Amino acid sequence: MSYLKQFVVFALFVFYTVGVVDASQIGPNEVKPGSILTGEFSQERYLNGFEAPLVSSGDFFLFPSKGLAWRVFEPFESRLIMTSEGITQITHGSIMKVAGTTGLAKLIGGLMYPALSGDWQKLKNDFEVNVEQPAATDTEWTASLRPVNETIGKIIESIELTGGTTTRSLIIFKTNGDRDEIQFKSQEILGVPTKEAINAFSIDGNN
Amino acid sequence: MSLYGKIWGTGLLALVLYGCMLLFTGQTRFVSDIAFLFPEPSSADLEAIALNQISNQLSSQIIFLVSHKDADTALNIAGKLRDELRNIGGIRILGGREIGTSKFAALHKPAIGALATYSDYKTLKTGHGDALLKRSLASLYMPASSINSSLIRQDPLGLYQEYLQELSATFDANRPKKYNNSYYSPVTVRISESLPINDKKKTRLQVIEKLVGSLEDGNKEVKIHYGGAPRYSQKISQISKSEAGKISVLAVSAIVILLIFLFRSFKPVLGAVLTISIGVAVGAAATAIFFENVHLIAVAFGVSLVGVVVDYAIHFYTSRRANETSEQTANRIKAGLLYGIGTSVLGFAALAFSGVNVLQQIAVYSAFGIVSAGISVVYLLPRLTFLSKTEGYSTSIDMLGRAHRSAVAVVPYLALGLVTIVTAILLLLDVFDANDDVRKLRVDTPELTKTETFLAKYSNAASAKILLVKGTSTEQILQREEWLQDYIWTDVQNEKVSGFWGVSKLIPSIKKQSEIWEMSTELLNTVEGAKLQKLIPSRSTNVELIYADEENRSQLPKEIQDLVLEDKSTDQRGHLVILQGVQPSFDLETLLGEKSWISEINPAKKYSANFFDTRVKSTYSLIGVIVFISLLFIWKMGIETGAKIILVPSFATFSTLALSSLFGVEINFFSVMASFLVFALGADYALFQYAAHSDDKERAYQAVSYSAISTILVFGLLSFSMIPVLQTMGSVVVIGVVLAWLLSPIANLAPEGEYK
Repeated sequence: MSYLKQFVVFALFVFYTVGVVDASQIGPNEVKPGSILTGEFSQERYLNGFEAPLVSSGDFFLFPSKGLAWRVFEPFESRLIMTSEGITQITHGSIMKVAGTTGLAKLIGGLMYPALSGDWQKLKNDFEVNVEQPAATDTEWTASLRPVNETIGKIIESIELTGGTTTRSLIIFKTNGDRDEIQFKSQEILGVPTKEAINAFSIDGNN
Repeated sequence: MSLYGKIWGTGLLALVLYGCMLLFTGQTRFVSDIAFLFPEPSSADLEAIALNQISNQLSSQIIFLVSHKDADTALNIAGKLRDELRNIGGIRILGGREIGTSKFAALHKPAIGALATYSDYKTLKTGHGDALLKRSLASLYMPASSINSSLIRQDPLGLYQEYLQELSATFDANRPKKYNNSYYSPVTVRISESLPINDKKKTRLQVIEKLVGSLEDGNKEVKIHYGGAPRYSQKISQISKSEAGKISVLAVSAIVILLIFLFRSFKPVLGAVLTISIGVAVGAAATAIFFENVHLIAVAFGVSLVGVVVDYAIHFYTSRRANETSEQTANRIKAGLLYGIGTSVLGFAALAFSGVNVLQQIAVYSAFGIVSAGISVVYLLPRLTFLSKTEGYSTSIDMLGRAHRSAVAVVPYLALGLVTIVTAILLLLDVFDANDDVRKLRVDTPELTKTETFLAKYSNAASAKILLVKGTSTEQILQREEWLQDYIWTDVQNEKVSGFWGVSKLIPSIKKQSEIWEMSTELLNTVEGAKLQKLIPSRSTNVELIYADEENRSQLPKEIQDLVLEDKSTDQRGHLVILQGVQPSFDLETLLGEKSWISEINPAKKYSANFFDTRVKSTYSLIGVIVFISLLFIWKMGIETGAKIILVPSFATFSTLALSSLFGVEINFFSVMASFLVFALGADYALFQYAAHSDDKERAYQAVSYSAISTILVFGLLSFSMIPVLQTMGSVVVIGVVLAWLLSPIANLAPEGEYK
């Protein structure tokens, strides 16, 4: 076997075993503008000093052009609407503007869309993104995010994402040792927004 | 030249040279600041200190609004603008980096749990704490909440998080706001106050203008509106320069053409120019010697004396006879001239006793200007033979003079006298329409008006109202601030006021902090509160309330520290409170009427009040001096002659003010000042005719008529000016001069014939 043939075989071996692919191609399916991503979540919040995690569950609607509606059903009903104009929390009929365009709320609001739609490029503005794909699969991936932005770095240590065609889990590790673990399931991309999705964004007193 | 002439000439020259030296070496400075017009405020007056502080701030403040349909672009360009402005130097950016909520965190830390937004405080106070419990519970589960165990132990209701967010919204000067599909990001700067005026500021403004232009050019659809006192001054200075240039050229040309037409020679033109120059130069020199800072209004008024002193030269040249030397002419008209000069000087001298800076300067400028110009006509012009024309006027208006005198002969001057007295009384009682609003003196162009209206509508800073809350202790003042916040709450909800900015917002009163802590404790001990307490670690019971003492205040940004006013000499103290985004529908007057310890710090209102005082004082001076001169004339010339002569200027002066008011030119400080000029001119017209020898009556009448024409030409031009002050003065003088000229032949009919 000539040296050239040996090299080609070696290269093919490396390609198939290590899985050298373009990292920007890895991740959940893109949620195109006009369509909507919906699904269910369950969240466990681990706070230092708390005996047990704070567990909640509900569903969400993600409009790329509009924002994210986060509906909590358990342990009680409430709703969070994150748009470019700010964050609104609706609980038991009371409507409250949350952190406007600053702080952690803005960060989380800004993180959800790229994290759920795999827009690593956008996340690279604030984080060092490391996406990996196990060799045996062609859809599963894990991504770890480390803040490069000093302000974010004060609050968040790192973020870990895992998924396949959709993002399945998101773990936020905070600098004070707290962490939020969010699991996503039953995700689907809708071409046309449903009435329920539209209602989820309406800022009225109904949860 | 006689010895007296030499002494006189040398004295004048020395005076002018000394004045010039003071001006050129900067020992005497010109000021244009409106605050300088009025007496220095007493240091014991906290309002005056506040006013001074706010005036200084406003006079150096520029507000920019960067607009774009996209919020991020508006914010980006505003950031770029801010960075570029920082590079210019001598410019302080307000808000932005200087006020960040993180700066408050260290100060607030011990008191977390006792600090809350007004809304949360109100919720607790009205017994609706359940809503806060539910909010706190919900936020435990929300991905956007930044709670942590230490925070929640200290503040289970999440009051501080809300409080910090509200502060962030109030103090985040960069946050774009949305109006009509566009986002507006504000940038507010102050041009360094320590710099001397004009040149450096002007240069910075030019750099700013270029910068704004380049940012707009580089970003399509981005529009940067900006305004504020320095920008306004720059525009006004440009307009004033162009106006002054136009008016000067037109006025000088008109007078020169008139003089050449009347005398068919350049010599009287040169003589008149010499007289005017001496008057203006000596007046300016004397003012520079007497005053360290000379206000530009005094200078402008002084220069307008041109209209008075040119009459002396016209009188001299018109009275020239072919068969006499110029010295003989001067001797012949000397008495009338000196009488006229004396009367005018007396009139202006009355202003010296007003106690108002600018009026005293006008008094000095006018008295020295008139005396030097008048005496130059009597003693200098006749000796400058190359300027003497051997014959006087060449255009005969005898027929007009005769007709005019016949018409005046039937005038019921007793009735006019009565009208004059009644008008003077009405002026004393301030019956006529007057308007002392300083804003009425502003030069408005469509561009300036548009920018200012725009900024007032969309910029919180431009539509802010500043209030002074006084008290005997810091705690009391903070509690009063909180009362004020409570008072305007409904207006905030109805969007009549967009925000409240005061020390109490950052360091609430001890009373309020205690209340919040106690009400929270009570709420957490209820059944509903217990549910929340079950989920979270036990509440920390350590809270240290924060005091707004000097040490804690020193941790606040300078802009907040500046809100605290203290006059240690009188132990008076107060805090400034800024109501942002105040709409015209907000009823400020009712608020001010509620409590005696609250007052508005409004430089425009204060200056308007000062203008009112100054106008009233000038009116009293005017009436007083006219009464005095009337008595003097009556004593010297007898009742009938004295009364007839004084009737001309006094009727013209008072009727002019009344007529201008009737015709919609509301009386203000400047119209009263213009009426001093009317009095001086009217007195000249009457005295020139009265003092003329019997064979000189025609010449005197003609001299007066030519003087009136020249004055009407100059002041008529002013009345078309874009600058309201000049417009007012021009209109008043024109009306007054026409009245004085119409009535002046009354003095020509004086029975004595020749003045002895």
